[in-house]
Amino acid sequence: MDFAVSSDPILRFAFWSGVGAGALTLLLIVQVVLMRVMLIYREKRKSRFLEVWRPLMVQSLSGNVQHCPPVLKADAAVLLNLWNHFQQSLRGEAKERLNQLARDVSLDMLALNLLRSRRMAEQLLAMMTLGHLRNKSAWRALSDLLEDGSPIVSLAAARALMQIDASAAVDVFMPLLVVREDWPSARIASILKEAGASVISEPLADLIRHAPAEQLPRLIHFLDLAYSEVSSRLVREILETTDDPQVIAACLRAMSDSRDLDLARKQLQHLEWPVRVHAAAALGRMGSDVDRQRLVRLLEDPQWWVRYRAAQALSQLPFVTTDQLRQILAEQTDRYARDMLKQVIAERPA
Amino acid sequence: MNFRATIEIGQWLFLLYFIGLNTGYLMLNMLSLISLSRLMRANAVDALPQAYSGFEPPISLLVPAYNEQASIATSIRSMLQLSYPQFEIIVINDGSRDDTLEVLQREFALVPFPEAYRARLATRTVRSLYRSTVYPHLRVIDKENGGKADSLNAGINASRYPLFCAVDADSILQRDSLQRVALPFLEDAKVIASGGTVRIVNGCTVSDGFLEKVDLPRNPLALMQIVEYLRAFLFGRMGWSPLNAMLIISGAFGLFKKEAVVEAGGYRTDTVGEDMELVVRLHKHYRLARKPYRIVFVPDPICWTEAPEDLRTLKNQRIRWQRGLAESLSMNLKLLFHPRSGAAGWLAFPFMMVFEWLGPLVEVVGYLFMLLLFLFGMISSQALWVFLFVAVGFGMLLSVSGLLLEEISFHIYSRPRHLVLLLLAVVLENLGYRQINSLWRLIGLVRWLIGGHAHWGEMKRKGTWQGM
Repeated sequence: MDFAVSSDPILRFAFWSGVGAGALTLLLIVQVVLMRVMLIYREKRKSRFLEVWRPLMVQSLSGNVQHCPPVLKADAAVLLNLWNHFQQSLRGEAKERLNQLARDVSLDMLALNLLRSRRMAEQLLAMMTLGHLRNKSAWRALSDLLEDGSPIVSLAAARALMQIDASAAVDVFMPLLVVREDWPSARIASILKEAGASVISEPLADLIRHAPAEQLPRLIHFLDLAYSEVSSRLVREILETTDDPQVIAACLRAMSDSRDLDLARKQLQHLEWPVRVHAAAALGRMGSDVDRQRLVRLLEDPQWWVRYRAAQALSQLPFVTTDQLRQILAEQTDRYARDMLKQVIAERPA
Repeated sequence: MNFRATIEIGQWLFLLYFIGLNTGYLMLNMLSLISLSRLMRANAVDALPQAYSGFEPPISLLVPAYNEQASIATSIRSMLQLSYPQFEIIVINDGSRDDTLEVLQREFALVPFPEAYRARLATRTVRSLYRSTVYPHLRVIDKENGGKADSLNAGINASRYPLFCAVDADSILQRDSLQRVALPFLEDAKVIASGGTVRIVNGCTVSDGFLEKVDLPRNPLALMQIVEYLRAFLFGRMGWSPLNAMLIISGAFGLFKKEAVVEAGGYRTDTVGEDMELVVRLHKHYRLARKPYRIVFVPDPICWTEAPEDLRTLKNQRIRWQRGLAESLSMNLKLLFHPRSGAAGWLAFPFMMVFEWLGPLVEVVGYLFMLLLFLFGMISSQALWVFLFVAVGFGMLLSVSGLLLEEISFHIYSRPRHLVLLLLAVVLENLGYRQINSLWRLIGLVRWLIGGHAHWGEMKRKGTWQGM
């Protein structure tokens, strides 16, 4: 230990740095080992708990549960997790029976308590549980959490509210779609899909009608989840007034009513190629034989994606056979049009 | 200044360098700790079964293959079983000298396909394209040999979907790998790239191309690489990700927005580190153009790869990696301290430059310098021991902190025996392995300075985990 008191400052500094690093290393090793011991203990306790509760959950599906042991606070999250796993894999009557089991063991009370937890995981589990249970007494607390800064928490609250009372929840959820740009579209779509077209169609259309222009392309995407008559009506309205290529493209993508085909046909010559792509795709979905020549002309478009969608649309037109496509191919003089048609003919199922 | 004063300054410099390096890594470790804890909290609910939203962007899986006749069919078969709503697989046969193409033709019933190939990125000549008659979403490009980057560019040209995932043909994926790596793209529209944690498959059991059981390898070299990978991924990358300054996404498995990559010019074919070079260039392109973007790290273990088990292969790998790093940074020097380069240019780039790019030089010279001073009687044996004590002590601290992050997050090495072996590896790795690694990296640095041709990195595979 001469280094510790050496007169050489470098040696002293180096030695004590090394001692510091060594001590920290030892501390971390102890922490790693302790964490592993705790993990093993938790896992054992969890598997003992699950050994009791998994069969009870299964029995509850046929309504045969005689007696449930009391649930300790320490096991609440494990039970909620297990219950939610069962819930997510069930449908219909079985779901209701599982809900009954939850009420019998006061799972709703446990969840209400966990809703106030500082741990996000517990809070999320509680929200999922209350949603599945359609527990109205949690409405106020969940509404507060809808305003939470974290998109994970706020969207979990939104989902739970929609499950509890979708008609009432759309009134508070929909306006937030414009404000909360941090909410991922995929998660919003899941919630809207779960709520169902009957609940969301009109409120969504109303929201889009009054939304700022820059939000429209994002919001129009959700129209896929609305009733087609509502979505078509709105698409028509928007296309009559907008000249924003992104909005037009989004509308063409959402178009599903063949009565609107003329609106799509008008966009086949649009200056922006993404609009032409979606116009061609719309004709592929809903077009008829009268669109054949329009699409053939588009095969010479300078943009690869426009040519590809036009060729696909041709191939999708009703009653167009492979032989007819070969005939169109033979008539083409443009190399790019020929190449694209050859590819799409090869892609057609045999 | 006399000789002794020069030596003293040299000693201080080396000492401060070692301490600076390790302090930097420890700070990254702290950042990772915060991000990982946050992520694990959110994961508690993500672990529950969730239906697809229908908004998942379709993905083109690009699989460059060069002389992979032995394993390509198994790899592609496992990729075909990935769970994701919509994806296509494009295998790019880069002029293999073996029967890679013939194996693919036979196993997947390939027929020539008249693709309207769009050469947005320049590549070597594409000879032909094939499509599987059994799996409509599998296509094969047969092209002249041009290297991995060239193959990926050809794959991008042929891809149909907005995201592409570059995968090594020998990567072992998990069924939900695509789902996990695509998640950041669903959460944030600004994401242009995401990369996952790569783990070492040696010692594990693989069945039908999928990982079945996790275990540790018996080979000590592979074991030490496990500790090394924990360090590299769990805080080497996780730490930079929240700062949007992660400069590497492993070539073994990374997901990119196709338009962003094409806009930046695709993969460069004149580097052996095409994966890192692309990510650094994406940072440069987006930062300098003031475009909002994010490059994200997914810490979940989603890709498994075989680590070299012999010194020769490991040496070649490390030389190639170091050269790739030097090329990636030197080709994008404009990012360094550019007024608009943010954390990527002001923190991550200089950090990588000082501690990763030039690190091996300083480390090897440092060890040699101290050894020579001792041999010529200019420092005492005490001083030499203290120097080694500091270097090894900090090394162990970093390794054990990587292990701590693993324990906090995924603890995939679940048996007590695993923990004992990993702790042993943490100690042993610092007693020779790291030093020899620095020497190989220095050779890589010298080879970069001398220059030479880039080529496919060949790896001697044992594949003891395969075929079970």
